[in-house]
Amino acid sequence: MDIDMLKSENIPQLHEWIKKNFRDIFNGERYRNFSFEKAFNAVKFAYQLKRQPAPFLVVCENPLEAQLIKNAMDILYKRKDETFLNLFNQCKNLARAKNIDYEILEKASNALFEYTLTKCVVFVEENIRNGKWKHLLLHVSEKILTPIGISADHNYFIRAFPNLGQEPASTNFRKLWQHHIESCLMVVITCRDVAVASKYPKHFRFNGNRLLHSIDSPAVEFGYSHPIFDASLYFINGRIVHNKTLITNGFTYQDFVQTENAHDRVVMLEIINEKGAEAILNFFNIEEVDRKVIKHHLNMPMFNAFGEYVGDKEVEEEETLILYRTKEKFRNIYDPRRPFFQKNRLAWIRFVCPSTGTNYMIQTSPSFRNALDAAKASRAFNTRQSYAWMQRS
Amino acid sequence: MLGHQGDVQFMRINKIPKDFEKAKSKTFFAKSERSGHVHALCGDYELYTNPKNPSEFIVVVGKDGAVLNHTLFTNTAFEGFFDKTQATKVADHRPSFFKPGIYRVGIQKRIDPLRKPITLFDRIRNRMSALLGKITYKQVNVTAVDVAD
Repeated sequence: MDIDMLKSENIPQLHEWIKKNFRDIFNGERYRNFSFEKAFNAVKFAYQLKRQPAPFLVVCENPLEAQLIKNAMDILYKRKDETFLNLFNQCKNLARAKNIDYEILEKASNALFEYTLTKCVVFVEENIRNGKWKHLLLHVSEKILTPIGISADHNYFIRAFPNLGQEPASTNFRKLWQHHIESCLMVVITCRDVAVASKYPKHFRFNGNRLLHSIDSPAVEFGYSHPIFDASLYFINGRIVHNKTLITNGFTYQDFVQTENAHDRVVMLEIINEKGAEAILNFFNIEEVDRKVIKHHLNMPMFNAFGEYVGDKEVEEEETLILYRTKEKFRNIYDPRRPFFQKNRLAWIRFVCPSTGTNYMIQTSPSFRNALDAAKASRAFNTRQSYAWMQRS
Repeated sequence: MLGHQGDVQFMRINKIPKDFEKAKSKTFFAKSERSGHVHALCGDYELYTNPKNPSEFIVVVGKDGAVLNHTLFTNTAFEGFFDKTQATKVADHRPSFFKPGIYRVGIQKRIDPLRKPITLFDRIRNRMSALLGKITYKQVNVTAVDVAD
């Protein structure tokens, strides 16, 4: 199955499938609905299909934590750590018992996880101190494409399309898919006796265009058992933020001026713009270039108590347009009206209207000298009409 | 006629521009994820979208008119929400009324000062490389010549 094979009539079907299967991931339900018993049974079923004995399940909060815990388990197993081996064998026997007591199995698995976690934290901290901590991280498991976990969505889609959801419920394939949904597991690293799994993210945050976005918290928020395993991802308007300290610790004007990193500069500018007019004025060294007061003669629509339109009322409203720009020029700041210059000022046009409560700033070209021209250029359409609104709210 | 409701702007025009296609279902123009408010047009109208620019719309309003509401996203789930010419409870912006006619609807523009603009030279360079790719050429077979001869 290739994406090129999709026809226009498949698109609504595909949308429906995405909505049905992914909604609970993005609203955090799959994280909240996690049940150890269902997850264990799902992994056990996947192993049965491969004619393998059931493994015991260790559940982590995020994929990074799962990988590091798995690597730490490898080290402890090879070192023949006595406590670890005792717990390991106990879990293995409980998982392969005829009548499984899920509560006890979960407790045993948690005990093993806690023990490995404390050891893993020590390994990682030691390696950070020695500057070699990447060794532990770089050892990435290759057995990550399991039929349970996020890769199952892709697997299911390519195999079942275009009869999505219509294949008989009795097939192993359909059962496996059902197990995958119920398991609420994002990633499973499969080993002979143990499966180390990760839960889905706790929370996703988006902007109005459904792009991952948050200026003060992670856009993809994972849980973690220790702060060094925090794998949350930060995004601003769909752009990934590599330097997350810009969001967690903040930044100064000097940071903005001195940074040579274009990504960091985008992030800083977007955060300041998002915080609003006062934040922009406080952060930058700004001068007022022009100010215009515009009178709009409006036909304000009137509605009755039932929400029905009953006619227009003529009113006059005043709007103040203020054009600002920074005193300094910055490298790698572009002006679409003068595309050959690579060092420019930043400029904003501010719209203030007390009657509608409007007070916001948007970025404009620094080559404007007249606030009215800047306001005209910010309109959604290119039109020769004067800057006069007939309806506004 | 020009109007706006927050950053959703509309302008009355005479005919439907070329690039627009009739939408299968009505939808809102813009949504704030933080507040959960949407700008949604409710009433007697047909919606056209531009596949090249998803934030641009054309609406052809029928004789009953249409109301541009700023309301909670959850309200849009009610059956027939987009078909009733009715002002809903106001979120932040008052409702606007569209009389019969054709309107262009779009979102206020803002520049991205960190994005390198495409210059005339960039366009020429791209065009030239595309044209050069189309030129056919004859393959010349070169036979090895022994230098010692």
